[in-house]
Amino acid sequence: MANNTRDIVRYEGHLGTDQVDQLLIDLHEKLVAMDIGLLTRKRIYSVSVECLDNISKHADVESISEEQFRQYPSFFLLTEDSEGFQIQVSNVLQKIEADTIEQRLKKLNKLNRDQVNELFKDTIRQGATLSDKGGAGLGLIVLAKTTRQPMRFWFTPIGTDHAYFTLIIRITR
Amino acid sequence: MEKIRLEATDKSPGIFFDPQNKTFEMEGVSRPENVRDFFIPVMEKLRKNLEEFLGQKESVTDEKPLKCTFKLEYFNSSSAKFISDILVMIGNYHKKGMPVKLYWYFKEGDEDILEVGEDFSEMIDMPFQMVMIER
Repeated sequence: MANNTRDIVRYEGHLGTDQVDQLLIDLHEKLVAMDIGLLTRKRIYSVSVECLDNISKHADVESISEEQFRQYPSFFLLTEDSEGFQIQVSNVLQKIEADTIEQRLKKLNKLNRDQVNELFKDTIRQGATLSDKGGAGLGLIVLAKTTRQPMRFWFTPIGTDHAYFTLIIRITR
Repeated sequence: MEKIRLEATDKSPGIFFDPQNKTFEMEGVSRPENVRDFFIPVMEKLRKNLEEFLGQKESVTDEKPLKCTFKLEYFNSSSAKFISDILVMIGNYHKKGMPVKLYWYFKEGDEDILEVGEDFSEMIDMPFQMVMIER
């Protein structure tokens, strides 16, 4: 585990389009002010956009109680440590969606870099279809392509129909 | 033929098509709120224009190619699908005989944008001129 971890951006609460836009503006300003290379900065930004867009489009906060939301809020945390950067996101999902994501992440984590790149190209070639929420099925592949290392994730069950999804992605300097 | 002129914003790319000068440009950042609402009208207009282009014999036999310039700093995964669709469309018209030159810009050190350009080039089976923007 990396030492000397410090928070760069932390957010907890409702994550709709306005909050995501503001968070990305703050994040961009902080990254530009930091002494990090263009590629690392862009990778952090890219992963953050995909994660936050996923939360704003797929988090199911409507069907849980206020008390449950306080316990399981939408969450974004970017930290820096001696080895690089870490993005941690959490949100409530419907159980059925959680199962699909779990299968996709397990599959992606088994692929090497070339295989992820091929999957990216194949998915676009086969005409990735946009869901009603605007996702093209490419989001998780782009995350795998950008991080270039396995993604850590877990699900905490909430009742029978929901789960609290946590995803951790590392970006090496 | 109808020009396309969409100025770039913080979330959507600038898109410019000038049939008279035979230029198509896309630049900036792409993560529009509703990716379909943004890209589908652009694609429909572009398709109509390219169809007319192809219908004009002089546009095809003219040595001046359609100059396509992509200067994208960042695009999200939903946009990638549509950018690829636009490139496929251009590639298909190129295969039908329309001369095209495609320039893909990337900032020095931004190997991810370079790599995705190479991926797109391979996918549509058309060479891209990679242009590095020096820092």
